[in-house]
Amino acid sequence: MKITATGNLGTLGAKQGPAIVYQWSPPSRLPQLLAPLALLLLLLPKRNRSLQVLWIGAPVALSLAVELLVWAMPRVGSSGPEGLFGVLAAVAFELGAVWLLSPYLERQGRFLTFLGMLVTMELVGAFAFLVVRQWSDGKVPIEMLGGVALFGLLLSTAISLAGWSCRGQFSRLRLSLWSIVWVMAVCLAACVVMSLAEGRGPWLDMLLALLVFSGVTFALLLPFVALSFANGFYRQRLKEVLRLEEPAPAEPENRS
Amino acid sequence: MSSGPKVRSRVRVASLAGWLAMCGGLALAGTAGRAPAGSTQTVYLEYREVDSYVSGSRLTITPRAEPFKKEPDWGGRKICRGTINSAGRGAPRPGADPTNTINLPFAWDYQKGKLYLDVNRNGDLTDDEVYSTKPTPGEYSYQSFTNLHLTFDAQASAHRVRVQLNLYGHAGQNSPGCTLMWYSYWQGKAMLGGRECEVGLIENPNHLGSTAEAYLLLRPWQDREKPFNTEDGRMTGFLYSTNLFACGQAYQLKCAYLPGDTPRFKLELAEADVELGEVALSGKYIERLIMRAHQAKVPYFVVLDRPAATAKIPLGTYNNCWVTLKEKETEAYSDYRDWLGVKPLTISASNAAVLRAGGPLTNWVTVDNQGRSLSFEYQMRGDGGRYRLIGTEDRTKPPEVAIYQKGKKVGSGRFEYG
Repeated sequence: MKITATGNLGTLGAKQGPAIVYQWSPPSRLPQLLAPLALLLLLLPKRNRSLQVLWIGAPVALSLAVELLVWAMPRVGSSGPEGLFGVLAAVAFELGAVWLLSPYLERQGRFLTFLGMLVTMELVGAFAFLVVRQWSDGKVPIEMLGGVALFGLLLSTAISLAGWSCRGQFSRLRLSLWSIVWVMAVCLAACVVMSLAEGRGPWLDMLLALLVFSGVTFALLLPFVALSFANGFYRQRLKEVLRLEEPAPAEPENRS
Repeated sequence: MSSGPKVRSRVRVASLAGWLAMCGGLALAGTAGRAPAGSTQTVYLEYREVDSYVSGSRLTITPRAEPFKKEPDWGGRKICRGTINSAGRGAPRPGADPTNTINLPFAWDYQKGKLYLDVNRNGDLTDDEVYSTKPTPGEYSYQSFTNLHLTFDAQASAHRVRVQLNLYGHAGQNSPGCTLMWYSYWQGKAMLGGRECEVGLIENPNHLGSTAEAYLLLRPWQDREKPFNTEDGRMTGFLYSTNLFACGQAYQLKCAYLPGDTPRFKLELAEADVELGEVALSGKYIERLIMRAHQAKVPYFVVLDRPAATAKIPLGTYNNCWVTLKEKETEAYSDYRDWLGVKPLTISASNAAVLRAGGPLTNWVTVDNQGRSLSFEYQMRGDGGRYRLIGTEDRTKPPEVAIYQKGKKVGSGRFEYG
């Protein structure tokens, strides 16, 4: 291809610049498919050999589609930090991995289960992010890997604490509300740590940042929670990993 | 089109000859590679205030939590207190000469748009002049205090300067920022190579009454009323150097501050004997070329105004080069992003060195492969690197790019600034 630049140089030069020849062929799309392929590999374990398990594609695809749409909005993608899309896409894959591996993450204690979720999210998130980064020819700053790690920590903590707060009883409303509460709480904690490290801004700006941060974090989690509410297969998995039981039906009155 | 450059070239040669003749260039030609030593000229630089700023700098501030010894009644309003330390980047060096720092305590009542400067440094804010401006509503304040006449240090010999202070910060936070704009300089008239020149000194706010980190102004005397500043790219002012080569003549400069009721600077320009070598300039339209030697018997700061295709300058190795271009009304200067990447140029007595600098300028685009996307960067290129136009850009008409594949236009767009 040939590229020319034009601009007004006044009397110091010609308006039209010379044609610059540049050879370019777009890189392969294959690396882009590595993260979904990795997710497909997680279908191989014995407890994932079911058609029902394929529903995990829905929240992952929905998250990625929404992120792409938001990113394509004028003045959103171009003004956002470089690599933020890679971070959010990685979070969708790491949540997908946790939902797929949840039967294997269940341990004796809640803390061990939480650690399993955390390690899974961090490993899958880092893999997905690094693949996206590699595909972008290294233009995505490696520092954004910290963002992936942060989201993994916040989400695994919030999910675990929401399960603990439900006191062993599964209820869609109760789990949703506790998820919101704990997402906000962990985001607040993250904001406090960041403020201590880098200095505090105006209160109004900080409040707005907290609301946006919490909103984005919860929006990342929501499609997966919604899948578990709507699909019996994943509902059972969520209940097992969070140690929740359906409330016992009220005993019928004894009519004697 | 073809006759234009020739005609222009003749005009340039004629004007150059006149300039060289006036600047002692004929004497230079007659000495075959030496600029002779000669007389010493003394110029007294008088204080002069101007209506447009001549230089600007950021001020470092140390916020202060505790109240001053005596303060006005703030009426319960939140204010900013602090001390203006020094101009430029970073904190002042520990143990630095206290006269080299500003150390000016202040309180800023941003809600009322008032600035209290403790000019006499006695901790009493009620016995100094108060400066006012229009308050700015909202969470963020940016207030300019204009036409201030300040003594920047408490020395008896210190002189007052006309400045503008711009303060900014978030409401409720005692961490304001401040920039300083300078509206004065020291002016004198010198005969350099038989031509009347305006010479001047623009002091550094950290070093009043001194040439340390100061700028030397040099331009034709008839241009003295034209506004200038050290940041406009024209290089009317450049870093003060004791070894100056200008108008085809080497000078040793001595400059001393003379305090008193009417303070002034005494500038001595002693013509120096220096061996010269030839430099060929590859580009055209050079209005001013400044080079700084870093390896030489005596490292000179060389100023060439409207040089010919070849010029003679002191021997040595030069690792800094700044250029301004002018053709009719269009002016440009070498892009500061390329200043650090200059290849050292050695001027010797035996061979003429070639310096790549000058016009004409070319619209250029660089392409950066970013995975599945290509990033285009606009560049205004001339000989030796990138350039920028001088003056206010019309940002409604940014440079454009067009992409062709097999002769067919497949894409186009405007470059974004920034």
